Amino acid sequence: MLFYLFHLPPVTIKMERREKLFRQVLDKHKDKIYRLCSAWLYDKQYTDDLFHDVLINIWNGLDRFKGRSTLNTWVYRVTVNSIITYNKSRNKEKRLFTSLAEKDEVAVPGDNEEMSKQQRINRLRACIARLNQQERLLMSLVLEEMSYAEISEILGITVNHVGVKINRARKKLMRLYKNG
Amino acid sequence: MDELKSLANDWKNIKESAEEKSGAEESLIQKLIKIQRRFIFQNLMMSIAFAVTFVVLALIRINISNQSPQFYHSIDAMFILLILTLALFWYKILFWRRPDYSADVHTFSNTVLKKLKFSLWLNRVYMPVYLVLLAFILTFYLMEALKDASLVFTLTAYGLTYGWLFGMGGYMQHKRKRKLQKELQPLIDQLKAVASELAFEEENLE
Repeated sequence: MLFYLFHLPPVTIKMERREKLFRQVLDKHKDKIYRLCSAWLYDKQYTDDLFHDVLINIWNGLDRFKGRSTLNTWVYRVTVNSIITYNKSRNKEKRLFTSLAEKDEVAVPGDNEEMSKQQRINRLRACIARLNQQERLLMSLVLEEMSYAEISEILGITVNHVGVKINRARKKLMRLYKNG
Repeated sequence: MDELKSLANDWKNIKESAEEKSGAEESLIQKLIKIQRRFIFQNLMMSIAFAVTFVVLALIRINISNQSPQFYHSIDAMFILLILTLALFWYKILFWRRPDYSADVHTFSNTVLKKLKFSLWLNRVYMPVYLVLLAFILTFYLMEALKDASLVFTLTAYGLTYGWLFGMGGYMQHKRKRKLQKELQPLIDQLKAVASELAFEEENLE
């Protein structure tokens, strides 16, 4: 194995490493990335476009990933930075892959528990959509159960600052959720 | 906190839904490689266009002799102007085109803001100045190159030159300006909001 590796040209090794990391990202983080995108943009069509943008940026950025932070933190940073620079009015590249064109509110027929779960999800998404942009970003990171320290590392601000902002955003979200 | 935990559980049930599962990763990676190649190709084409212009200017400079100093100075000035434009273009590409998305959000938003303002400056300030300077230089060049030409030929040459510079150049500039305004201004406003919100609270907490 080592003999084979030493005889591969550098470009091939780089591409192999990039592909390997990219697959790891898809396996472990694809849904998290999608949720962050859907928190920023309620509209599914734009969410899918943004999601594709994020994947492109992750792919392009992986050759610079040196392991100074965890892959998890790195992926979240790329995702959040892609989100805040997303422009709906730009013409998009062809979709990277096809997504189901289902509506957001899909009820599973004949299963009350599933229907109730889906209704709660739709309600949560609608409430998040009513927060301002920064609050949406923050709450989506909180709902991913990230620690204040991790969020602080992603945003580049102090843990104190993170705590204050999350507190405000959380209270607002809970108020919206309870009042419907 | 239990309420938040319950929300978090519901939240994690939101998943991405791609139609194709088998083979999706492979075709996705192939498409990403293709997009990357297209980006490199576009920038090379721009540089090749500039290179051809440099070669033509160099050939004129070397092969046409017994002209006045004004003739040679105008060629040199064109050369310098094009080098400056190419340098600014590559500066934009190398340092700004692919910002580091893995930087923290605060740093990233400030960096991208600088990039966007630089793009706007290039379009709003530099390009009009470039067109005017080029018009001056070409005027001096044509004065020498056409001094023995007929009136009709001279007027046609001047007409075509200024028509191309200010007509075509102005139109392309106007179109690009509108496109940038539509694409960049909302982004600038959004990033300013993010950057200032992150900075403002920091200052207040300190």
